[in-house]
Amino acid sequence: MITLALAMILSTALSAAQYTKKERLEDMRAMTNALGHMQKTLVGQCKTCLYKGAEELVLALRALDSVDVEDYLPKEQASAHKFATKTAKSIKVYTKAMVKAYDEKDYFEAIDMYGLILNQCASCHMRVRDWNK
Amino acid sequence: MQRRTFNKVLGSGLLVAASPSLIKGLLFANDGTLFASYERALLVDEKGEPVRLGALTTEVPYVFHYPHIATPCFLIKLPEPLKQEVALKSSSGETYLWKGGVGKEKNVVAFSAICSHALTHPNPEDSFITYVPKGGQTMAYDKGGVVVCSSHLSAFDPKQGAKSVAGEAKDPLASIVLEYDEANDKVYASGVLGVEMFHQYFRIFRPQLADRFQSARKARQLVKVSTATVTLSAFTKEIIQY
Repeated sequence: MITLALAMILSTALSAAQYTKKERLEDMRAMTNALGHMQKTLVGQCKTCLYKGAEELVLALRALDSVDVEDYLPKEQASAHKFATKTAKSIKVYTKAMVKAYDEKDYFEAIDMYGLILNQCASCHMRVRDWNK
Repeated sequence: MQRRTFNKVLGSGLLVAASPSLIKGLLFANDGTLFASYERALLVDEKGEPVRLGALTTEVPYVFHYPHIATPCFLIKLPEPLKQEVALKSSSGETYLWKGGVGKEKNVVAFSAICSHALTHPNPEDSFITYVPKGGQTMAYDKGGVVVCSSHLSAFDPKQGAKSVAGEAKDPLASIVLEYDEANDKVYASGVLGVEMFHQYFRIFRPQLADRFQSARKARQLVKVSTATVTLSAFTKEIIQY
């Protein structure tokens, strides 16, 4: 049991250490692309792109919720890691709600949820990237 | 708020209903939109017993829900009396008067715990908003004695009616009007003064609230008769404060 726990801790530490800036930028880019796919559905260009986008978005959120965010945030913003993690959780909630609304043909609700996803992205960037300064 | 003062407010409301032009002089907000009365609710502890202001721990934030069962508020006993009225201004220019603390020592205040910036609020999982005691430190402000929202680092001064003193928040936290029954040492919530963010709150957090209250509609139910009041640390698993 102890060995297993140690192995898990070591594995988490290694995965955090191995998460490079290049990977982070790729994940952020993946999130942007995923949002683009989801939007295509909302504007009527592609009926199934929402599902692809939602899946890609949740996958790319590993940048915020499965890697130790504190390790790669700018030093002065390292304290915001819990906020970033919470943001990732909220994005997942809104993504799930958006897909559900779309499946139920509640398109205005789906659009609203998409807006709330963007709102979460911007909210985190405001804090972590100091957009307000 | 003392009973007498409360009655004045209530009387003012009746007068205003008869003549809206009286709003500016008698009601707190100059167009009447920044004050709303709700069913009076007794603040009770986890056992259902009335909250005694004398038993509250100074500078410890307590949470109760009002006027909806899903809208959290802070109850704070401050170390000093707050006898002065404070004129507050909303971001859209409306002005209103905050009447100070209640209780024998006029040092107990209550505010909506929904941040007026991005609606951060306490929930059972975590709270990024809390009261930082006078001697405490925060990244948001140069001293303690403030309510701090650690999402985007806004600070609100409870001694000034929760006016925004730092960060991006433009509006004060909405005040919860308290009515104090001095003879029985009971305190009631009876209204909301200032810019309440409930509409936006229910819109933005409807998936989360639906999950917590079975449906978003249930979360909108108004508090009736009494409202449970517990410390923030008892209400939430984790308080995150920077």
